[in-house]
Amino acid sequence: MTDPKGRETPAQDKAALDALSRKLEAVNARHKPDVEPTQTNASNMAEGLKYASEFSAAVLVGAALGWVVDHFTGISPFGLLGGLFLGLCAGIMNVVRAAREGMDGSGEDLPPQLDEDDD
Amino acid sequence: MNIGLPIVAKDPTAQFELHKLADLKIGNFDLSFTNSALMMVVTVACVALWFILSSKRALIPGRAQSILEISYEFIADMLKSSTGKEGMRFFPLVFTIFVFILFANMLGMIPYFFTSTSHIIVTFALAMIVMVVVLGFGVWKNGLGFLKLFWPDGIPGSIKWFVAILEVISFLSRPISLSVRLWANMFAGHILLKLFAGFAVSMFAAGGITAVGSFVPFTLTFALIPLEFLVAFVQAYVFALLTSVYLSDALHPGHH
Repeated sequence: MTDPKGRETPAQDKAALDALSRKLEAVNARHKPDVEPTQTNASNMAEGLKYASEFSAAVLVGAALGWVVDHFTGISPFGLLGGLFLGLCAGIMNVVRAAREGMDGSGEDLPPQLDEDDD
Repeated sequence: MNIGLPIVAKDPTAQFELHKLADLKIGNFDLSFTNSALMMVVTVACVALWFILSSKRALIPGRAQSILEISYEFIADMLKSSTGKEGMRFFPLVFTIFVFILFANMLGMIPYFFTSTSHIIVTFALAMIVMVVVLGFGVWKNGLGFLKLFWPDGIPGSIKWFVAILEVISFLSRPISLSVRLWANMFAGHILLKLFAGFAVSMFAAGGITAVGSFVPFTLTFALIPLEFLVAFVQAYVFALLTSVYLSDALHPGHH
């Protein structure tokens, strides 16, 4: 073991240091929570609303597009059916994308840390 | 700020009712000044006051200036990390949206104040501003190259058209999901608060053993309030974050 200046720890101190490490570990273990804290209710709800809005928005847009196609071509109801199907696919794509990227590409949905030394 | 205080405590949706404060009709359009419009004016006034208080440009910043500088760096870092240096031209837009939503959400947490972001038409208008800028700037800068945004790569040629249609639908769904996200969070949060607070009051009023039990909804209300403040901030942040992600699509449509 060496200190920050590179000096060797005297042999007679080693036992005391080891005892201190063991004591510190014991204290750490005692203060560790039994169950790791999970996310709060509010952010769980926000997470759910994220996926819900991503999915339902695409289905709504698909259905609206299908309805417009029906309205102008008169092939009702197949435009609406096709639109709903496409909207469903796009909704699933949205949800997969949201889950994979955490919506910002960094893999997390939390505010970035402020760094003081920025330009 | 509701006219005719106090609101009937038991109706959790009464807080979202619009009241006309001044009638105004232009043609068939009803442009009356409502309590929602009043809250938006209050929001803008608060932001303006904050900016004026921070404009002394002291070398050692005071409280208001310090918070403003932190907010500036916070949004600037986020924008730079998702759009790169050239995205900073959109900083005024993103910062305005962030500050407006943050103040509207936070002011909505004050009892008897109206939350303007709890109406979907308000959040949808904000989302449409973003989408119009993304589309307009994307087409102006890239021309037809903007269509590359919808053209997937790394996919077999036979289903490319199918996926391109899905990409278009996905793009069109963005303003809806963006506005629904903010609206649903504010709406659901405020209903939840009101509901538990209403339970606490009516259980306490019932007397007997239920009055003792009323401490449960009361504690929940108490616990929900800080969470709602957190949601108010996080949703303003998420809106600004998604705005900058979409703006980066307008800047670099090729890779997404």
